[in-house]
Amino acid sequence: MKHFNDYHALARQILQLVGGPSNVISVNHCQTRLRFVLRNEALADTATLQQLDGVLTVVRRGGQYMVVVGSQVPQVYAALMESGLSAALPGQVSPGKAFLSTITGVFGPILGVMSATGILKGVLLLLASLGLMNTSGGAWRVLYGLADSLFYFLPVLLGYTAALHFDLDPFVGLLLGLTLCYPDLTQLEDGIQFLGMPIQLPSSGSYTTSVLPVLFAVWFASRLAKLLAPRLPDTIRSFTLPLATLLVTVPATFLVIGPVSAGLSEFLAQWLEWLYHLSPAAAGTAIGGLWQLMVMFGLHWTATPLTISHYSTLGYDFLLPAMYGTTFAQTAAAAAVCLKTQDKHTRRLGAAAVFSGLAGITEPAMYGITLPRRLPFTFSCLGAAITGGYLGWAGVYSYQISGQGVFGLTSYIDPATGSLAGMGQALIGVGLGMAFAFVSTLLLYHEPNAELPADRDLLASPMAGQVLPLEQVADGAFRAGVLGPGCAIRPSEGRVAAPAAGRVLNLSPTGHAIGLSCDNGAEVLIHVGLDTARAGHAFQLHVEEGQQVLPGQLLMEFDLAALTARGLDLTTPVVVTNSEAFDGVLCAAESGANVALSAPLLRLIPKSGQNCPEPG
Amino acid sequence: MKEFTYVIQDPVGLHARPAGFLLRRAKNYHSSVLVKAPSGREANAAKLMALMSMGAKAGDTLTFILEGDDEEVAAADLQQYLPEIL
Repeated sequence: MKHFNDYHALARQILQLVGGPSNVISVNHCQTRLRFVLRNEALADTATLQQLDGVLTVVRRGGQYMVVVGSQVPQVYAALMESGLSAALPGQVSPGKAFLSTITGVFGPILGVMSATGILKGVLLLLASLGLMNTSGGAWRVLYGLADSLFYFLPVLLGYTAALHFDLDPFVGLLLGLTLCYPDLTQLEDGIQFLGMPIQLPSSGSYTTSVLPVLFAVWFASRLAKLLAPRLPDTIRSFTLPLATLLVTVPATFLVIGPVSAGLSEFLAQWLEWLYHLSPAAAGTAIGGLWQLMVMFGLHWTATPLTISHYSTLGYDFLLPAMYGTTFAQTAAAAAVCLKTQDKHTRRLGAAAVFSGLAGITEPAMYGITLPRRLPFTFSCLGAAITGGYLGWAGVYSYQISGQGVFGLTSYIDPATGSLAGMGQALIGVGLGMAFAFVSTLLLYHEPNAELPADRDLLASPMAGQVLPLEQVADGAFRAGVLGPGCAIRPSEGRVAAPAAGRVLNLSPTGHAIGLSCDNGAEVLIHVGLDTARAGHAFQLHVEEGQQVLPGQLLMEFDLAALTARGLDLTTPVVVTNSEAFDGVLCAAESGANVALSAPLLRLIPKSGQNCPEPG
Repeated sequence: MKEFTYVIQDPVGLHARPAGFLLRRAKNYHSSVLVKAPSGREANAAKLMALMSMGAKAGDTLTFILEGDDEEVAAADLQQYLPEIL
């Protein structure tokens, strides 16, 4: 790798190629890598980035987009921050932002399977509620096991993805998740101790389905492993490092994280009860608004025992109605985002997330769509607060434990009277909450303008053939970059097409060299062959000087076989002769590989703050 | 201002390669370098496309006009350099 003095230029180029500042959720760095969390990895031009001088390679793992730049990463990172990225990332270091980037990073890789099992679960519950499936039959149990296993063993999957995110050995992360879900540890009796210290499990009784404990555990383990690694002898590190890391982390998880979440749960339960007796509408609003957050922190389990005790002592419950709007509002906000976004990835996820959300499984909608965008998530919480507030005000009760989402509607039928009034009220409340979340997201949320780095900054290949770096061209002038940066093509066809819209500036009398002034500001020289200036009139021009051309328009043809037979080297440098008008000119095609006619060949990096450099 | 002429020796004329070398050399000077062809077209030597667009052929007499604080030295250097490339 070259030594780079101009880290700012490199930083600007990298920033452009990962999709611009608006596509960056967060960035930090380790020893050799810039670690980006991107809104949409599809917007990053990985092919060009990998070719970029100063970038060794690109690694995509664990929801992170890592640009490997080598030991100079601190300088490049500093330049990146100075380039205005830090301004585009307000509160880059704020815990909230870091938390969001972690959530996006760890859920990203599993959103596909999560949506799939969420939908399956919804369909199964629907079939069961219609009486079409017997929930004690083998088919149900196998299929429900499939649909539920991801959620049940969520700590295992998250242990793995979080380890990738926090740069911990992924198998150590996996093992942390597995331990949290180990059957014996899901049924520990109350009051059990670890060397005299009390083990407090979450109110659900185990860590299965939980999200945050494993994230904290993996984060803790990653820090610990970094601290321990240099202190352990090389020869035995492969097993002593995981052993030491896990020996500390697992008990810490059971002794510290458990009690913290358990304690919070108990406190919340009492507080909710108190608030409800003060004002049902206020309690409904508060519970509805906070429910999604409580679910994320695993604090919601406190509600289940409370609800059950309400049913048995009062015959009805007021907690379930208060939280009922959560999944609906979440789904409505996600649907609104999908209507607004141009991002194909989000749109594809959208339909699945909405369907799954209506069935009460909102993880795909939340972790994949609303939470990373923050504002839609906020609107969904406000929508849920409206539903909760309305149902509290209307005095709606639920009468039995049932499913979430649409499957929860039956729990509002009063079994004593058979009255459907509660169900009607529930529908009204849900409608209000959904309408609020949907409309406010639609009106007030603006998807960042994350379009593909404009095509106008791309120059298409004027020829089909093999791409070569200029350094491999057998001509001193081009090799030294005297005529400008670019790359060369060893043609496989005798046709030359315009790389972009523009005007023909000049044609050499022999027809072998074509100069174009492109509308994107680049002046491009296509120089067919290296010694062809002496080849005579072997080139048939199809354009004249001063003529406007369209991208891909045929400029010139020649008899490739005949010229090759004459021993001429037809390697064609394609260079930008006014590169000073740009921050960089990069090869967008892999060198050595074949490029098709009009496939991307060169990428122009516009000067920052100036999208349209003046031609000339 | 310093002015001199040069007759193109290269059989292909002022094509891409000599134009590139001329441009690179001219960048070393503080002075601006203006090139005029017999056709009446002229070009700033800092602009490759403009140089090539002049369509200067073998045998054409180019006029070089230098202007700047190093014009004397630059003109002498360029006069010495041109036979190597053009």
